[in-house]
Amino acid sequence: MRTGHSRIRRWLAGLAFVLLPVSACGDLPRDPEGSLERARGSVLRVGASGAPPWIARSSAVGPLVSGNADRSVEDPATGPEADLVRGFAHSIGSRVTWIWGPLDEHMERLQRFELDLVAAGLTEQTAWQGKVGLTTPWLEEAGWKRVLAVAPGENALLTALERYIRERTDALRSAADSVGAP
Amino acid sequence: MKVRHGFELPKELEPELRRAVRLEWTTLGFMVSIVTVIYLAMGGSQAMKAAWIEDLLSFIPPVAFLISTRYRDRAPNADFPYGYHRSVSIAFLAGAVALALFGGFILIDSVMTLAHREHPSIGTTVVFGRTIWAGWLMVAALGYSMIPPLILGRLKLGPARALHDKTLKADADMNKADWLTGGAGIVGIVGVGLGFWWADAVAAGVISLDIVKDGFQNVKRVVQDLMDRSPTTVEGERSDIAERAREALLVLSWVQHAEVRLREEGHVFTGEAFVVPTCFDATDLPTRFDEARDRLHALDWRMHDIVLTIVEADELIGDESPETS
Repeated sequence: MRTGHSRIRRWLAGLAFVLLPVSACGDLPRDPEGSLERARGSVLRVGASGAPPWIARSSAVGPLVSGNADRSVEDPATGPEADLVRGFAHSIGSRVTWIWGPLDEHMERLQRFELDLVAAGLTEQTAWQGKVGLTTPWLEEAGWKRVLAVAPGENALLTALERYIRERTDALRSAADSVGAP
Repeated sequence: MKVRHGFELPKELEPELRRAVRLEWTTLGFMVSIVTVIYLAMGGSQAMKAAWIEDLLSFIPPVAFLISTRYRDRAPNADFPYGYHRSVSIAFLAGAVALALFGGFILIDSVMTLAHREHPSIGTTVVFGRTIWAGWLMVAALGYSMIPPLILGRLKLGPARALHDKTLKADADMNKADWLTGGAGIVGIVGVGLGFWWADAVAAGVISLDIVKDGFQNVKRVVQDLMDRSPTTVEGERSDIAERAREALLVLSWVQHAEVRLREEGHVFTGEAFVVPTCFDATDLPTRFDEARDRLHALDWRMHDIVLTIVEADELIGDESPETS
């Protein structure tokens, strides 16, 4: 019995040895691809698809340049989801580069870390669930849980965005009411 | 039809059995809480999923043990003249096969995750009004899952040896090894927190290997049991009980040759004893057989329902075991 107890004590001590320094670091989780760090003081690359009234392009005709990322156009997006993303970007000292396009393309790019977020009126039930990171719902209305998509595994970015969302649940609710959500 | 006698545990072992039953119920209670906690904290982590499956696996031995103690009292009847022990073995086999396959599935899944370079997303959760990274909750859940099995596993070893119960022994061994699962899971989650996306899948792979190993060992053990393997100790070494039974018979004056064939059925040894008598007098044969059977049953409390048969001398001599032929 004695040897057994000392063994238990030994591995508990070992575990504490491993965990304590780790939990002392407040900056966990970190991003494997460094998205949050890169976005700070720079741009947040957001793939957007029109999903009124949550997010829409203010001018239907934008200067679309065909081709790759140059398609990004800094036209102001409107709607509560757009405001949420803009507000978050501001909170981390970043600004949003909106990239408008079809959702499937955005999601493919998000998985290749060519985008940081996708805002497209997504719900928690999206078919992309499991392939990309989904935030906690920023709005629950009529049984729909509205979420944003984050590059997969970029947990620092996801955590920062979720903290931002959780702090603003009420404000988001009233913003949604003002655009006529049920 | 002649059905078997029911088996009764020796009086002095009854407290051990009650203790074992209590420990197994405690185990089930803790496992339910652990499985619930892990499930609630699981999120998108593969390591957590693997740990969850591993915890499900550890339900099988306690359940099998508790069912078998219930059926231990059920007497054989005309429909099941050999009693009910095998039903538990078959249930154990089905459970062990299912979970070993599950372990294999998770192993493939985690290899695929690594191959596809899928990054696990772990967001935040709210605990007591505070937003924290969900990984910490997973670490806490895994930490909790490590402690009760470790203690219970140690406590079960005593009754397992006293009762010569292999289900209980397998359970104790699995419990004792369970902290490795929790530890691997914690390393995986903390690894993800540190920015190593692959840590979660690697931890899941390690855990699933352990599940496959546990499952395979359980399947092997119960298959050997169902195949009437000769008796072994709880540590898995071959028991000398058949040899001792043979010697006990040879001591009898009317026995010229003897051979004994035994198998284990749950906790008891059953089988056949073949004797070549020196002389043959049909009138006192029942008395002599009774005496011989009593000697065999007195060898060990687990000797049960040994059938005695008279054979001719050349039948025993021609009946060599594989090792000597």
